[in-house]
Amino acid sequence: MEKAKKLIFEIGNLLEDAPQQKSRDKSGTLVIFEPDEEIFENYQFKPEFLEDLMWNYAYLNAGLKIHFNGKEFYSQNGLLDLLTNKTNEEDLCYPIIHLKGDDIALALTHANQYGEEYYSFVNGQNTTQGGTHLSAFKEAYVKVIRDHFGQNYDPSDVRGSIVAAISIKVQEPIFESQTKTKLGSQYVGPEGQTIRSFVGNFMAELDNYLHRNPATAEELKKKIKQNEKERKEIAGIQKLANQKAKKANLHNRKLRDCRIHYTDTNKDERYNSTIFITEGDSASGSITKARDVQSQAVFSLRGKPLNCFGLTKKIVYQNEEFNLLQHALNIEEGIEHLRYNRVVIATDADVDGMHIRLLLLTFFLQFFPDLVKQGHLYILETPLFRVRNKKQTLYCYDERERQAAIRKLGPQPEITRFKGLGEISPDEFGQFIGKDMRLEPILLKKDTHIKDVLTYYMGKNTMERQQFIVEHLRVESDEAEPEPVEVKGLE
Amino acid sequence: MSVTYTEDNIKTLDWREHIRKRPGMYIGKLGNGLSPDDGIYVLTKEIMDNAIDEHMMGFGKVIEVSVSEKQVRIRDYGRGIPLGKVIDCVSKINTGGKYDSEAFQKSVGLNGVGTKAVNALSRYFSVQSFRDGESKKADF
Repeated sequence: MEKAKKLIFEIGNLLEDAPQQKSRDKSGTLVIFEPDEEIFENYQFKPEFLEDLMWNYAYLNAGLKIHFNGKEFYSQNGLLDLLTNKTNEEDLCYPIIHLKGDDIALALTHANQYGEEYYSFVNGQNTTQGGTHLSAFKEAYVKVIRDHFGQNYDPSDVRGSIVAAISIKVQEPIFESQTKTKLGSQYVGPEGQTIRSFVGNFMAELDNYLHRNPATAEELKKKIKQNEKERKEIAGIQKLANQKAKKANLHNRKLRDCRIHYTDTNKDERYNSTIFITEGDSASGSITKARDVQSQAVFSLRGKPLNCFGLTKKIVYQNEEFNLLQHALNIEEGIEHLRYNRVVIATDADVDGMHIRLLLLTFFLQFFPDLVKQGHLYILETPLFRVRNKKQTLYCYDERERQAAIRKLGPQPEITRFKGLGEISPDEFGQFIGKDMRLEPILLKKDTHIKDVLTYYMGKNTMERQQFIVEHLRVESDEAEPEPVEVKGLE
Repeated sequence: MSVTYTEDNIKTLDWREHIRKRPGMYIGKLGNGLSPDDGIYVLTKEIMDNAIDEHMMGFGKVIEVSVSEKQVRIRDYGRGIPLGKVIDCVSKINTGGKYDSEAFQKSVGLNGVGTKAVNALSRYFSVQSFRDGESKKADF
């Protein structure tokens, strides 16, 4: 069992075939694995990324207990629990509707938020990109609502602000890729009906439910009316804004596009498609020169974006910068056709940069929460220091790394503090957005409620925030850097 | 210079080589774990799917999972892989117990590739099956 021996063998080769043994352990299977560094360079598991997965298993297998890193993941009510955990009770327009049938389950409600939020599953598999079952649900849902109220509502008004989860089971499902994130099956089984009619038939249950719960039906109707009103209010400006954006897309000074997009489903590289949102001309300049034109696009902001906390969607059209941004990302009608897998906020690591970060986070959380929830939003980490001697250059992302670098490079290395992205030369920038790029994903924990967080940080001054500032205020001193050499552009 | 096209140009890839040359076909993107859809999470999911399938069939109410920076350990309390087939199940492509069983047709892991992909893309892979007081272990 010596470790060295294992490493010599080719990966996937049998190393040790232990003979069958008596055992007092309970029946079952134990698998232990360590991914290969040759394939997954410098990988590191972030267990929090697996929490959503574990929760989904729990929701879809009510009664199952998963012990994950010391925490228990358990759900008694399946999809109802899922929606309860994904929403904030006081934001709901009506109590969550939960319907179950053979091989299908459904939960839905409307919340006070923009966009449409869906969770879809096939045979326990989370189809993050939807597929035939989700399309069937969306279609049947609109039809049931229209028929129930006897009104020819616009589909976008019926679905606006919906939060829904659907899970179905089909025989021999066909997915559009090996990673199984999008269902392609047309039928529920080799001899079964179409998925469209299977889901459609089941949705009659929703009509029954609304008849039995008139209070819920009333609230739902109110929400649809409200959506309709808001849509009509912005219809005029929307048309104008879209025309402007189309014109601008041909010569969009703010966007430096790349060649491969997230929507190119036949290409593996689509997962690398990235857009950097930068501030100021100099930073945009460096990043534009340094980027990989295949997969990396740049969108440059002029100054600080507007604080859109508490504003309605109208502002996304009225504000030129926001309007161009939503068109660059192609998310005006939802994130289904998002053009970049990674939307990366790349601002300076100073107070202004932090402020811009917050403003952009507010914009996305407020108007495109699904983009954040699906894990597309990131912050670019750039080094604060460069430590080098004649032989070697090290980039350090925090004080601890700087100390380590000084120890490693020995006596009196040259230490440079980067003041802003604009001061990093394109050559160096290439390394920071290349394969060693450090991205901090924006994660929403199960108990983070967007509205509370935004009110706290971005709303009108509150007592709580004032108190926080008073308690945490400190005067920054630069004693960490003995003799900083400032970088001025290219060397 | 002319391009020659002879028998030497035709290659048959061993299953491991194939997975390692084209990991994207099996697990989507690679990545280093900083993104939630990176390959190492897909590997974890492949193993979890098998444990979940056992639960869905009515075997095992608990699954234990521990994930550290580099390693994943998953123990289910299902029926255990039949001891004589442990090695085949994790290293012979298109081997699986789900091909003709009706109940398994509504599961996701029925293509018999998942576990092998994890094996081929792992530096270390160990499987141990426990069944009725007997156990069988294999290390890769």
